[in-house]
Amino acid sequence: MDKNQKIKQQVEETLHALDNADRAKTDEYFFSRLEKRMQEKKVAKPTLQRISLSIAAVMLLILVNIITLLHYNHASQTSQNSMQTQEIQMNALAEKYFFTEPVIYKQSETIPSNGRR
Amino acid sequence: MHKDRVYNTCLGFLHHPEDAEDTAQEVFMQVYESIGSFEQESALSTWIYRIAVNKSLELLRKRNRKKRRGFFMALLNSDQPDEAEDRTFFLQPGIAMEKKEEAKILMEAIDSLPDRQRIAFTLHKIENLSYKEIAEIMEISLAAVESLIHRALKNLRKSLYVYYSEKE
Repeated sequence: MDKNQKIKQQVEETLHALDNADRAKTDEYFFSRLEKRMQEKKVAKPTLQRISLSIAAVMLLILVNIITLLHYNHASQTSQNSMQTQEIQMNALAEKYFFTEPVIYKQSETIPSNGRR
Repeated sequence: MHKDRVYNTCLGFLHHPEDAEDTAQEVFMQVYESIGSFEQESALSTWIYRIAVNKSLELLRKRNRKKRRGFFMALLNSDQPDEAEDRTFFLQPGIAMEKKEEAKILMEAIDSLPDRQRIAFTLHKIENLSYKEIAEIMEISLAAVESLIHRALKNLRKSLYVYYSEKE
């Protein structure tokens, strides 16, 4: 038998190596262990739920804070803008009607002096 | 009994008794949790087999990821032992002593098959399921199962030939 033929025979024998294998079986305590594991999972579940609930509450709080902050920023920006517009209008009006701010030293000049100075 | 079928299927994919038991338990837990969503279009056993196959493959993928990570860790730190290397390869019972080495070589060759060929071949060889049952589990046609088994055999012959040629 040549080498190639020998290898081919080995391959065919190997392909049939599992032919007489039996089904592997678990022991009779399989379901007891399963039951125990399921009970452990049931106990662990509420803790997980509680954690996820608290995380959700914190996230909600952060979200409310962010919304409030954004809203406040927007409102202050708007009021600042309106104040600036009002000031510009006032200045324009003052320029139009020659309103000038009284100057202190000029005021003092207008105070009548009775020559006692 | 369903528990033995599930355990044997998981063992056929995982080759490790503790992992197979753990996965079999997960299968029954999922069956218990989602029995309400089970539509009686297929047999209960088919549905359970499907879960068993998916869970086993899920664990194998997890194992492979861990192995890859371990490989890189080993490159960085050569003193650390490789956990994956410590696993003993467990074979199905009933295999004659003189056939054990060949059976191990065959199982390793099956492990290197593409997923779908591997599922079809394992269910056929390890669980002795008919092509019709495999078609129902994999939700494919009978012809597709025949094709998968045919390609699996062809690939196995090729890889075993290479193995024995190198050994000679």
